[in-house]
Formats: sequence, structure tokens, C-alpha cells
Amino acid sequence: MKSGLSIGSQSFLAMLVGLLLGVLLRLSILAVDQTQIPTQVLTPTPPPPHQTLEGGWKVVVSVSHTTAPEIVSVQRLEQVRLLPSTSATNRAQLLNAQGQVIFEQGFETVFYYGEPPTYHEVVEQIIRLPDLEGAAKIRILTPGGEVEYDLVEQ
Amino acid sequence: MKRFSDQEQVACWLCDYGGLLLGMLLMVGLALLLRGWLQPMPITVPPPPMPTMIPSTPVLPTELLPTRQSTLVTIASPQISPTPVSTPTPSSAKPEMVVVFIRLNWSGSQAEFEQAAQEHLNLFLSESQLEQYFAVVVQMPSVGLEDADLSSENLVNDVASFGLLNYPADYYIGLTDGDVALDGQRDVTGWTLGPNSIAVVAEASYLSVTAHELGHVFGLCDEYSYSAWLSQNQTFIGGCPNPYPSDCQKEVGIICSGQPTLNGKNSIMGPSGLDGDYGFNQVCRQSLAERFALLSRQE
Repeated sequence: MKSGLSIGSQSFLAMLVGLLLGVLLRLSILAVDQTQIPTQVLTPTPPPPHQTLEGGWKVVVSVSHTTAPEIVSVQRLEQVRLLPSTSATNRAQLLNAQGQVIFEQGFETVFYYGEPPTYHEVVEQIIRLPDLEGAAKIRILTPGGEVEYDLVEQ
Repeated sequence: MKRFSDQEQVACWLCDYGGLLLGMLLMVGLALLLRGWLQPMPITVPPPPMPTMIPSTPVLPTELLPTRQSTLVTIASPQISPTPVSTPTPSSAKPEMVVVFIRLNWSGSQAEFEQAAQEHLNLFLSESQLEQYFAVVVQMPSVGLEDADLSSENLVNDVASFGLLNYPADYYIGLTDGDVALDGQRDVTGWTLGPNSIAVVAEASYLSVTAHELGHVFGLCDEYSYSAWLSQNQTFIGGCPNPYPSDCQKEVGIICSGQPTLNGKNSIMGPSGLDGDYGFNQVCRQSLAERFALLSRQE
């Protein structure tokens, strides 16, 4: 008595079971891939330009050609608008408590200004920054040096 | 009945079901091979909304509210959001640029202030084509700086400070019906801190001054004086996009009228107070277009 399946039946069953196994295998691999996707972005995303943001800082900076910049004053703003940051010689940064940069804005200082422009050794500039959660310090960097301001005191 | 040994039973099972087993192994192998070709698309997780951002219209004390919106103004619809979330502007929409005219020792009426501001604005918008890149929102509040020192070299920063504290905006224009006299020079009709400055000051009686100073903010250089052009060419990042007119003498004290536009208008980057209309010449327009395109990117 022949107890085995015919070649045709074996082929059909083989394809069916193999297909099922393949689908199961693929689903399990996909599930593993998805568990590897980070569910939280740790680095804060810079606030987008062209929008009115809740909270900001008005920073008056004294910039010199030769010496480190000085922060003249820092004042909190109820709302602030930012323009896109472009590559620039000077940078204004927000740091968190661990000293990591969480926001950066480039800015230029032009030492010739007025009509007609005349040379100024020191230029006072106003920089606006967003008030980001976790910001602990403002840092201003120029070719002449850098200066930090503790926001916790505010 | 013959009883098979264990080895014979295994061999018989393989005879009966070997094809099935082999087929299954082939299909699994095929499935693994196909996985390499059909990798799922990477799934990106959008960043969580920033907790400090909220798109809104400026919240100002009642007495500081703008009394009139410019006819050219595009007012964004107020968006009421119960939770602080950011609403990204659609990529196809133009980003918003908010410009505030600040009354600077303005002695006339609010209506006169608004009319002067509107005329200054119209010249800049029509000549710069700014509205091709931005939805421009203009405010002309009735409360401004009343006791400013028009000769102070901090005047531009005073306007910027006042504006930042009271009216959130991208740029501030201090407009006066008085006499701006930077460092005592009474022939000065307006000035700014140069490229990337957020504020300018201008005398209302010279229509082209606001456009001239905003030209500096967006990187243009003076065409009325070679020494002025030269110092800006040496200090502006990337130098001057607009050349000093070739037909003007490069001597100290010579006032050049600037490179006129193709249709014969006076150059806005030339001196103020000339007879006739003013416009941005071709090189200035091209440079402004490039600058606006850069600034209007939304990331």
C-alpha cells in the first residue's frame, strides 16, 4: 500500500507551507526593525524661523575686533521671531546645564556703519534668541574670544 | 507483515515526504532572499513638538495695538491652539515677514505717520519684489519712541530694543518727521548697522531712505560715495554685490548719483533727495532676490 503523497501534492503543500513560513519570518523581522526605532529625539529641534515663538531673549552684546565680546544685558521677551541662521563669523548659542549646545544662531558684526559709514572699534549689537526649555547659559563666540551668561540668574 | 527497521522507516519517510521537505526549505530560502530586495522603507519618527513654541498673533497691551493694518498687509488668521504646539508653514506657502514701523519722535498725527510709512513701504515692496518671497505683515502702532535722541549712535539699537519689547517682528523701521543727525551730521537722512541689522531709522520726508537702509540690511552697498562703497566692500561678508558706478569719480568728497535703473530712475542706493523717481537697479534687484530666497527657507 502506498502511504506517501504524490509528487504533485507534495509540491503544492511545500509551496503553501513555505509561503506561510516566509510571511511569518518577514513579519517577525519587521517587528524587530520597528522596535529599534528610537521613540524619542533627545536633541532638541531648533525652533523654525518665520514664526512668533513664546518666550525669547534680547541679548545686547558689545563686539570688538580684538577683544572678547561682552554681554551688556539680557532681557526676557514675551514673544520673539527668528530669521534663518546663516553661516557667519560670530555665533550666539544656548547651552543646557551639561554645557551642550541646544541652539545656535550666526550673526555678523560690521564695524563700518552710519551714512556714510565710519569705523567703530566696538559695536553694540542686539541678538534675539528663543527661550528653550533646558537652556542654562548663553554663549557668544567671536574671533576675539567668547563670553558666557548664566540664565539661571534670570 | 514485514516490520521495517528504524533506518528503513526514516528512508521510507524521506521517500514519501522528501519532496515536501525540500520544497519547504527552498521556499524559506527564497523568502530570505526576497527580504534583501524588499527591505521595508525606513520609518521616520517625527520629532516631538517643542514645548515652548506657539504660533500666535502678537499679544500687546491695548494701548499698543496697531491702529491700522497696511492695505498691503497679509494678515495671518489667528490660530487658537489649546496646547503649545508648532504649526509648520506648508512648504508651498510663503513664509511670513513681520515689519513694524515705530513712531520716532513723531510730532504729526497718527494718520500722517501711517501715510508716510505706507509710502516708504510701497517703494521698497514694489522695487525689491519682497512679496514674491514673503507674505509681508506690516504694523504701524500708535505708541512709539517719543523722547529718543535722534543724534545718538545708539538710535538704531534704541528702536530695535523698543520694538522687541513691545511688538514681536522681524524688522523695525524707526520713522521720524524730525531730523536724524547721526553724530551731529544733519545731512544724514537715515542709517542702520548694516547687513543683518534688525532695525533702521529714516526721515519720513525722504521717500527713498527706508528702502535705502533696508537695502543695506539685505547686503547692498552705497553708490553715492566711493569711500563708503570701498569700506563696505571690505567689511561686508562676500563684499558688495552692487558695484560702484563706473562713470563716477573715485575721489573723496565726490557725490555719485548711483547707477540708475534701466528705465532711468535714480538708484535707491545712491543719495536721497534727487529729483525724480527712485528704484533698485538691475544688480541690486538680483542681489536682493538671492538674499530673499536664502532668508525665506523654512528650516
